[in-house]
Amino acid sequence: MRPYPEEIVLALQRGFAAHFLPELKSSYAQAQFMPAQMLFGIAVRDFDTAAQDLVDANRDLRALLADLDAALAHVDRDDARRARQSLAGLPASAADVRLASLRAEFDALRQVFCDLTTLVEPAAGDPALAPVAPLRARIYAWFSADARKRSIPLLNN
Amino acid sequence: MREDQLAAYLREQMPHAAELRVSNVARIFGGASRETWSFEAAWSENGAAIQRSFIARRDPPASLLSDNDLLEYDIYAAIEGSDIPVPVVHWIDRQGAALERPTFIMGRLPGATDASALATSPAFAGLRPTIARQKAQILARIHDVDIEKIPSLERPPSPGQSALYEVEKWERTMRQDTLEPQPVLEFAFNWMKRRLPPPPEKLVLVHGDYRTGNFLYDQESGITGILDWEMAHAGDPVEDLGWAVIKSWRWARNDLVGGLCPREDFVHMYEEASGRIVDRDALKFWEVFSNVKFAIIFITGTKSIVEGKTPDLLLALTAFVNPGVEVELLELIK
Repeated sequence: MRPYPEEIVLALQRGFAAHFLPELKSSYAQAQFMPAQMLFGIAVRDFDTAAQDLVDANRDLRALLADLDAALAHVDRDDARRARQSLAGLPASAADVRLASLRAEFDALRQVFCDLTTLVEPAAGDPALAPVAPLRARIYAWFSADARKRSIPLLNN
Repeated sequence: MREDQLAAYLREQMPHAAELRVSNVARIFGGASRETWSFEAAWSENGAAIQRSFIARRDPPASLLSDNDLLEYDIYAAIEGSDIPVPVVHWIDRQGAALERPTFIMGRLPGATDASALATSPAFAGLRPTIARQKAQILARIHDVDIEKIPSLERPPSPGQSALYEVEKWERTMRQDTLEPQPVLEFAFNWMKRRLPPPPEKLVLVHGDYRTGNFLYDQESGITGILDWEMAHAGDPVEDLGWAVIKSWRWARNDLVGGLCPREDFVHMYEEASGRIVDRDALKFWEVFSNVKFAIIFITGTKSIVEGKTPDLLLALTAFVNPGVEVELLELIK
C-alpha cells in the first residue's frame, strides 16, 4: 500500500518547501518554517523504528531492574527491602505492539527507576549501597545511550 | 500585533504627539518565553518631526515559562541609567487591554543577538575576547544591584536557603508539567540535594538567563544591551555563572563558554570584576542545576504544544534538545 506513512510525511515536507516557502514574506514566517521541516524529518526518522526501539528498551529496562533486585538483596536496609518488594510486582508487559501499549510499558518501567532514585543515585559514594554501585554505572550508561539515540543536534548537545 | 493597535495605544500614551504613525511592525523569531515585535513610530512634537524604533514584548498565549508576569519591565525600570546597558522602557499595558495580552514597549538598542554568528564567524574573531570580558564585568555589576529597588523580585527566605529554594521550585515545575517519568532528572535532583553549596554572603540580583544570545552586540561597542530578564530573581551569584557555562550555550560546538573564551578565563574575569571568589564545587552544583532547569523549561514547552496551547513550532522542536541535556547531566553526576 504505497505510499507508506513515512513517504507521505516526506512528500509533505518537500511539498511545503516547494509550494509554501516561496510564498512566505515575513522573516518570522520563514523562520517558523525551519522547525516545521525539522519536525517532518524527526517524524520520518522515528516512524519505522519507534515500535522496535520501545520493544528493545522495555526488554533492557526489565533486565536492569532484575539485576538491581539481585544487587539490593545484598543491602541490609529497610528501604532496600521495600524496594525489592516493589520490584517483585513490575508492570505487566505490553499486550500488543501498538505504540500506545509499548509507551505505557516504557513509562511504567521508567517510573520504577524514578521510585528507586534514593537507592541508585547515592550508591557510588555510600558504603552501605556498595553492591548497587556497579548497577548504577550500567543504569547511567543505558540512559545515556538511550538519550543519544533520541537526540538531535540543535544546540551544542 | 497590528499597526492600528499600536498607533492607538501610543496616541493614548503621548497625547501631545501629533500626526502619529506606526509602520514596519514585524515579529522577531525566537524569544520562546515572550513575543518580541519591532516597529517604527513617527510623530511631530512642538513642530519637530520625530522618528523612533521600538520593541514590544508581549505575553504569548503559552510559553516555555509558565509564569509570565511583567517582572522584566520592573527590572529594566529599576536599573535604567545604571552602568548595566539595558533598553529604556517607555510604557506598559499590564492588563493587555490595548494590545490583547500584557505588553511593554521599550526603545530599540543598536546591535544584534545572533549567538551563533558571534561564536563562529571570522568577522567577530577579534571581538570575542572583548565581549567575553564585558560579559563577565557586566555580570558582576548585575550582582551589585540593590535588590530592594525591585520589590516584585522573587526571593528565598534567606541566603542560606537560596540553592534549595531554586531546586525545589524547579522540582515542583517538573512534577506539574512533565508528561512522562523523568528518571535522569530525578537522579540529578537527588544529586543536588546531597550537595547543596555553601550559602552566598548575601542575596543578589540573579539574571536567570545570562548567556550568549541574550545580549545585543556590535563591532563598535561590543555588548550594547542585556536582554531577557524573565527568569530574574534574588539568589546566589554563582547561579548565573552556572547557567553561562552549560554546554548548550557554547554555540561553536567547542569547549568555550558562550562560544567566547575558556571556562576558567571567564570565571577569573568575573572574580576580578566582582571581588568574589567562586567556589568551583558550587559552580559545578549550579552547572548541574542549570542543565536541569534547562530541561524543565523545555518540558513545560512540550506540555504547551502537546496540549495545543500554542502553535509555536519552535516549542515542538525544543523537546528534542532534552535527550542531549540528559547525556550531559549523566556525565556531570556519574
